[in-house]
Amino acid sequence: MKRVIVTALLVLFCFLLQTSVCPWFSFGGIIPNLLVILTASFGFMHGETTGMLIGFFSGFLVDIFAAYGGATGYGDMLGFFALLYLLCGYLNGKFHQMFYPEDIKFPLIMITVSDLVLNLACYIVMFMFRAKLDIRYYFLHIILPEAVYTIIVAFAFYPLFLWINKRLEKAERGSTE
Amino acid sequence: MSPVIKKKRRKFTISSKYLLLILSGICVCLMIFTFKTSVFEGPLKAAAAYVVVPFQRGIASVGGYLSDRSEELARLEEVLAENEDLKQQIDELTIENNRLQQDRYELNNLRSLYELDQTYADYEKVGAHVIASEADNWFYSFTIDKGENDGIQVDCNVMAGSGLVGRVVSVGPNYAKVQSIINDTSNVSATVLATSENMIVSGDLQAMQTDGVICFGELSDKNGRVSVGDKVVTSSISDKYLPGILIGYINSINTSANNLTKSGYITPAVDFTHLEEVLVVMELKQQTGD
Repeated sequence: MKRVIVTALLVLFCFLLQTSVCPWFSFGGIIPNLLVILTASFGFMHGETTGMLIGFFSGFLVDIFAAYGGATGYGDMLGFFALLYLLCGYLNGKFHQMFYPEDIKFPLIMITVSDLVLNLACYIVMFMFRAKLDIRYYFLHIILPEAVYTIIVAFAFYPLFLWINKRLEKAERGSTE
Repeated sequence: MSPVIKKKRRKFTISSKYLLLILSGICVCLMIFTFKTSVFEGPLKAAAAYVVVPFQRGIASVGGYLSDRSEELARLEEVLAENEDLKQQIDELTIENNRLQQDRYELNNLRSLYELDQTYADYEKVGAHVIASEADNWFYSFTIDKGENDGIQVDCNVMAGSGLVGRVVSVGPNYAKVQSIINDTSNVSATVLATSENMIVSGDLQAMQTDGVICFGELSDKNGRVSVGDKVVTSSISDKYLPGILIGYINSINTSANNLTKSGYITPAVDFTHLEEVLVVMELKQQTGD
């Protein structure tokens, strides 16, 4: 129960940071993707189910507050980012076996790859299908900068998530003894 | 809490593969359902309005305060120099203004003669704060702190200063989402003020990122009368935008591949990177038409 509450607060916290605070610190209009850090790290730290659920709810929040569906004329199309983040959490959870808390390289690689793949998928569905084919441009100016910025931010956020997860696991062990 | 129920298995186990299937299914269904309808919007928006928006509002006000202070310090010197220039400019403008007022007086007379009551100058507007922006780097839309409770409706036009920002695409009880004209999926029917030629202005992420401009196309200008620097405003044939709102200035013109129409780039009148307050026009296009 404690985990559920803490995780829900984390999702909300990251979403708020990303939409309301990050724009103040954007470099060339690029903001880091905290929700990917959250989803990916809880995915490989605590397994696929957790990653999946966090991804689903993070993505859903993004969906509710995104206006990309404006093109359809009905304002909202929900579920796209939820699905992307959900898969991101699930696939990261598949690497749970390879995770050791002491290792910092593996998590950073996972987070970076997640961010790159997520944005690439986003580009393909939302831009390439609308005949915006200059993939080199979008890769160099949107996808790559975001990934780099996300890694930098991950250096601060990943240890925090790791610590929170450790505390939660300790509390869980304590209560099931 | 009580030691009796401690025995209960904490983990409710469902195979992660099934959960993946179920959740993916939910996502796909949601996408299909919400693509053309707005079935789930009511409760979701209410939830969002009471869970997320208050925080966003708080953060935005704190952030706005902080950035105002830091900017004040940084720009004080700059502002002093600017002040001198501006004083000079005021004198020039006062002279020009007097002349223009005379012109306007004449214009109003002529307009009333033609019964061409130009209403867009006195649309009812409501100010709103930008409290959150898009969570990814692909689209340019943002959330404002006024919603249904303040009388805002979907398709309300949004302006900042004198220029067009975009339109409201979705409203919750106390927030509204605005899709800006620089968003990659946005299209606006526009007209060149000088020659009354119509065109389509569409947002472009790539052009916006590199040069801070947006695209236009479908401009039929056989005699080549449209030139760089011309004002572009929303056209009267647009079904979402009120006529005569300034979009920007023509930055460059090229002949399209079909050799019939022209396309090019427009510099928007609004500085989209520093958007904090916007004006929402309460009137809808359809209402003025009837």
